[in-house]
Amino acid sequence: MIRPALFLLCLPALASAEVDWGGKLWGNQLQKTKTYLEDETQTNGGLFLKSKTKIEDVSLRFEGIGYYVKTPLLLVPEKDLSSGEAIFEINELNVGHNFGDWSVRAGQMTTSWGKADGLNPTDFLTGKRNILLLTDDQLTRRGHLSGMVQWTPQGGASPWSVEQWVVGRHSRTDALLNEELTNGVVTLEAPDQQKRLEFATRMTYAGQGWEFDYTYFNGVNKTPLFVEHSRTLIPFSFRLTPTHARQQGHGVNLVSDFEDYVVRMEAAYINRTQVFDDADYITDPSRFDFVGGIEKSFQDEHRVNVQAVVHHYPNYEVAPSADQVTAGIQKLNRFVLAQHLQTRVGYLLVYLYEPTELNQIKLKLTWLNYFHRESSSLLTPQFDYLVTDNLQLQLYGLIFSGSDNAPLGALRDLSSAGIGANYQF
Amino acid sequence: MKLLSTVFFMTAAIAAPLKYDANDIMKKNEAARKLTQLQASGKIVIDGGSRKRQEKTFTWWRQLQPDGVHYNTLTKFHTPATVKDQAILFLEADGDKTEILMWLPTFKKTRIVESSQQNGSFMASDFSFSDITALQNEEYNYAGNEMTTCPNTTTPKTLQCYKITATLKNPKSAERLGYSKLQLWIRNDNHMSDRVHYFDQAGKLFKELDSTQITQVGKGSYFFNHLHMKNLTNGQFTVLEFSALNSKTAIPAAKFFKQRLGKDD
Repeated sequence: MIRPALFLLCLPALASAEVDWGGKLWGNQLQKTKTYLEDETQTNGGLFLKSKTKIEDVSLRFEGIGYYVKTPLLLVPEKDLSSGEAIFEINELNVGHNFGDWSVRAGQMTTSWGKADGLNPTDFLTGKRNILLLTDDQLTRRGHLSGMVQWTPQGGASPWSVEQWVVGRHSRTDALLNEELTNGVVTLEAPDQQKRLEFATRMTYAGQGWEFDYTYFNGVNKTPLFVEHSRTLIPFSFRLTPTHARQQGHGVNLVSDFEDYVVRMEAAYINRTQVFDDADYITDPSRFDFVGGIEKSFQDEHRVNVQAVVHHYPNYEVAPSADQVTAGIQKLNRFVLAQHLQTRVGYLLVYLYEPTELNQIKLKLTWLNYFHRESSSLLTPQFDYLVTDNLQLQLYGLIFSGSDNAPLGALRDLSSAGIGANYQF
Repeated sequence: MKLLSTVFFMTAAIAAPLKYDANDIMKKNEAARKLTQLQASGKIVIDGGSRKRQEKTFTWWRQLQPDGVHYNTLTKFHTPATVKDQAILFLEADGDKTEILMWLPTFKKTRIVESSQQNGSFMASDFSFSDITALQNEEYNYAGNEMTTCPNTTTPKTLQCYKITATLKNPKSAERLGYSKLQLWIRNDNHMSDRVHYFDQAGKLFKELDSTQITQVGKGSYFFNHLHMKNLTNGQFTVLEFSALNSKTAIPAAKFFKQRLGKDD
């Protein structure tokens, strides 16, 4: 009897619910540039759905993604992507409420922290669906099971704001591994359990024309480290477990309008509190990351963002390896976690061209280039053509270059040209 | 003879319309435009020239700040799907202190529009960001009060307009606003603008704004439901239409808080 009564009580609220929904249907085909487009790099396609429901002062959010991906080159635990897999994931399923100074939200959520463009070292909570070789941030961002409380004094009018996050199940970033990196003798186990608590405290000050935030993070690295699970001698093979190492991070962001341009700066110091002697390539993997630069528009049609990129391990000492297998694992992790150099310096250029007279086309160029000892880069040119208000065709490329020792260079075989279509509703 | 001349003089004084100074007329215009708050549904149609016709729908909220001069304005887009949930927040302030922030739902991030880009296109239309903000009288020197027939073809031919020239007090503002001078035709019945001509930084006429379909939204205050901005250099034009005007329902101040941009659902 209680349930029907409860339902009847909720009925007026449900009747006043405002539901807003939308989504995207997409498909992409990528071919290897190395073999003059004869070989497939990846086929992907799927449906992205999102909805927002508002009942009185309570809001419910949903964001789900179902996709098919076939990619002969990439290795992922427990999945055979070489013959294609259908995967369904929920990015968001949460409930929230704002009241006065306070805002609360709980459930599966996505976050997008960081003021820099393209690379965000302070985006501590977000894992990326990297197996989808896409340039669409909305489709690659993963959710985490969390609770969040935000306090903004003066009923929300204060420039100060504090957020506290508790994550019950963290998200993961796919490490891009191919056969060449694993020499065909590695099998990936299921990743270590994701039910490890994470905490983050974020303080923001939004001034007039500028904003600053500081984040303290205590959680895990979203990009896994591969730890030996077991090995067999005949035939020689070993099994690795993707493991998310515990770490603490301090991150700062600054964005400011300087009339003619906008300055963006983002920096993080990440102190790895969990070190794996037989897996980490260096003995102390604590690191400093910086991305910062300026953004400027020209004549309504051009937007350029130039950012310097620096990664640095303050204590860089190569770890000893007990045997050849350990040395192999450490080399693999050197690649995955970019531990091959103490300091990496480069730039990230983002150029966007949207002609006002030909409003159906858009050109975007992203170029991440590391120089000095590393000399490797990832160039992603992208051309969009709007067929109708909802239907968009896309031509794009993912061009990796550099030496085998550099993470971007080691992915040279993934260099591809892609064609895609997406329908938004 | 003296009596005759006195009668003639008095008749002439009665027949002639009241002559106001340009600054007085623009003060009346400011008073006529003054809204305490307003919520409306909107549609923006981009067409003309070599462009593909595009139509975007949105909800629009505007609220007068406590200083009684500047406004906060929030525009949230609904269609097409490519711009769904995008929001643009205008926090007006003196001169170049006006802030414009864009919420990009795909990236879940807020982007600051640099001050120098306030003359940039508003959602790929012929309106600039600064055209969307309210005209600030303190930024201009006004001159002229010539009475002419109102130029807008939909305005009754019997209606007269004051022709006023507005030049920027601070030439540096021309860079930010994208124009050096305005020519305004202000209706003499309700003191709302009938047409505005925009002159670029070289002093050349480049845009024309016609405003029609006036709705009274308060005591002595009015709002245009239909704005037609034409780019005279390339034939492109944009129509901005408002409907479902609501000036009665209170808009919470939190609607315009920077920290809530994109999160206020």
